[in-house]
Amino acid sequence: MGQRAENSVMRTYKTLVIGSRFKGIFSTLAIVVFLTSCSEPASLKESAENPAQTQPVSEEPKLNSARALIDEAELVHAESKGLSHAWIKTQQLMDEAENLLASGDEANAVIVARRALFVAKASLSQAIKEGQSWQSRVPN
Amino acid sequence: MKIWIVALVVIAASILAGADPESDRVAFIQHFEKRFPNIDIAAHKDGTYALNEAKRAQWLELEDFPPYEIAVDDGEALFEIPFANGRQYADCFDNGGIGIKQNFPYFDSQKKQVITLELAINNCRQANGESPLDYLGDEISYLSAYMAFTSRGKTFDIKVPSAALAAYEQGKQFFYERRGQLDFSCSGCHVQSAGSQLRAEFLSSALGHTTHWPTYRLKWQQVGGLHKRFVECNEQVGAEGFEQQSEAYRNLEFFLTYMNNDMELNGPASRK
Repeated sequence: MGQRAENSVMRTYKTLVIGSRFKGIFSTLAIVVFLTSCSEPASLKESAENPAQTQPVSEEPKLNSARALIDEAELVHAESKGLSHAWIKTQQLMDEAENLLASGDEANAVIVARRALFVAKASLSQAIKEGQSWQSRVPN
Repeated sequence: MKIWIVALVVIAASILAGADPESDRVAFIQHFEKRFPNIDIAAHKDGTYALNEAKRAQWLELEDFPPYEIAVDDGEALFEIPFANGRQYADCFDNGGIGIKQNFPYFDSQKKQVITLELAINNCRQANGESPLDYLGDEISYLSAYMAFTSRGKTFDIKVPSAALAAYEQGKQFFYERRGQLDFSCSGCHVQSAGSQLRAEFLSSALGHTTHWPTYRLKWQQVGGLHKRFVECNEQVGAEGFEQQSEAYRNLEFFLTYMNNDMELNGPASRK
């Protein structure tokens, strides 16, 4: 990211600025653009520090079979439960997916299991977020 | 070793945050003084019926023939029945178990946990060779209704010694954390939105939430304990509830009751 951006900025700088009578202004602008391109946005920095935030709950699961999806949902649900933030809906959807799978309806089991995983991830996301943000609600 | 480290971290965090239970309580009361400038703080012991005159009038009519009265009588009878070993409930509690609910829950420094009245009743039974009662059953509700009745008019005097700070903080965090699919916290409804209307109901303020338990709820058609209400609240917002008398709920009760210190006990009571 750093080397590429640097080359690109320098090429632009040479084309636009050298010999120009607005050299001073363009120089300043170029430096600002260069520095901006080198710095990481704050939101990305935060996400890198907290891996859970890099996986938005709306992300499409890469898993394809109902069994794999249910297993993954169970893992995430257990993690939420460990943080005292399990949701009722997750268990309901996992049970529904299990029943569909048991009846041989793999296609609908996949759909419901995907929902279960989505909801499980949302509950985990809530647990992580609330672990820090609850203090803002304490009267002072 | 781990417990000591956790305790030290919690204490250090509390000090760094400038928070201690008493300043929490003062800020808590001030919030409700500002929110309800025309309502006396002591009046919040009546919950939502302190906030709305029409609802209060209906409730007072109900209290003419209180639906929990039989539970108090039955509780007294149960309280007097000796265990198989000849001892009684009275032998397990200070002052023979009469007029003591204002000291519950308390932190047992030896067991390193919060002890609620219901847990103490079952501990008493087990110490005397009896099986513990079902926390959702009538028997324990009646016993605690009788014991609460004998404590009417007394004021809460909950202590938070330094060894109890971790439990207090856990209860506090539980109270302010959003949970469930609806993303609600206890405080969202009963602190920030207290007095607001949810359809036909008015949200009670958290100040006074622990004064009147156990309670006969028309919805339940029976007397039930505070933890039964906690489960109901959690499930109403789509969160999985916890076991009756679980550590999470005992710590929550500990925090909430400390917030109610100096408030008058008026249990058992009736609620919709």
